[in-house]
Amino acid sequence: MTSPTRVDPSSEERTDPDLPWVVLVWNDPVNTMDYVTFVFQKLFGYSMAEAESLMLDVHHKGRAVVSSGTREKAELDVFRLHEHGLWATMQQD
Amino acid sequence: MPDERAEPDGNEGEAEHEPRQDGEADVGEADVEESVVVFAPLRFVLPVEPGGYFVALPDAFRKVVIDQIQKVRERIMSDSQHPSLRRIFPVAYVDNRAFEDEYQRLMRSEMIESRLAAFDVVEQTLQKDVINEAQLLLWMQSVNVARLALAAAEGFDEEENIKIPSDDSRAQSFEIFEFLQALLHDIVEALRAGGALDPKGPSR
Repeated sequence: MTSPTRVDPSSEERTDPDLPWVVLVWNDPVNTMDYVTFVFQKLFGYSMAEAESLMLDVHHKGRAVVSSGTREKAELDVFRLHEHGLWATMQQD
Repeated sequence: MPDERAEPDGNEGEAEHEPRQDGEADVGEADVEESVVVFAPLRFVLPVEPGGYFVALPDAFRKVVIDQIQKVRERIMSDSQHPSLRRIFPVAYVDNRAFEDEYQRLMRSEMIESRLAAFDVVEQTLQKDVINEAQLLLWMQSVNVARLALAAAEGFDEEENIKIPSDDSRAQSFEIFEFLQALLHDIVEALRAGGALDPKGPSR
């Protein structure tokens, strides 16, 4: 299982202010497919087809990018995903 | 990621029934002949009016929900760094410790506050038959948090499609885990049917 649980201190402070941030959702064996699809729709306004496609990317590829933008926006999106129990992280694209 | 749409007993696609409120079981003709009582599948939650949702949970099931939520609440209050809570307080930055520390410093207390506020709503509305959409969305979050915490505490989150044999010491916990999964599924289905994803508001 892929899991975003470790912080790599070696890459600290290597950020480029011009690069957008992306929010990733990672696969996990607990959150269910319907629930993840619903949360994507609810939080980001995706259609059912778009949300299911992202959910299947998470399921089959281990992760999917669900949103992008400024660091502040990405942090808010990560927080809302965490509120819903999804395994979300953010990084610069 | 499990697909909760598959029925645990293999009865995929079986017709769904309205929840019965009289406590009686549906008994088909074949069942009567064989003297076997078969309980109809339930929907634990149904949209019933504009913005309203009927919660068809028997008292014993409501107690399971509240017990699980209270366990998580107590764990959060006593030690929010407890390993069993790792899934409900995940990292945000995988590759930048300074940013991660800052994020946790700023957001962790807000996340704890959010979780406890959602638990409050579940506890306050637990005995109600009809709740509104905002309340059901907080039920959804709380039920999922209880599942995640239970899975982490019992090791159900270690592999896909986990099955626990009936003689395993975790069998009862796994039954609760599966019940919470079924409840979560019904909440999501009810919210969809009730128009929670409709930008114009409830459709019913």
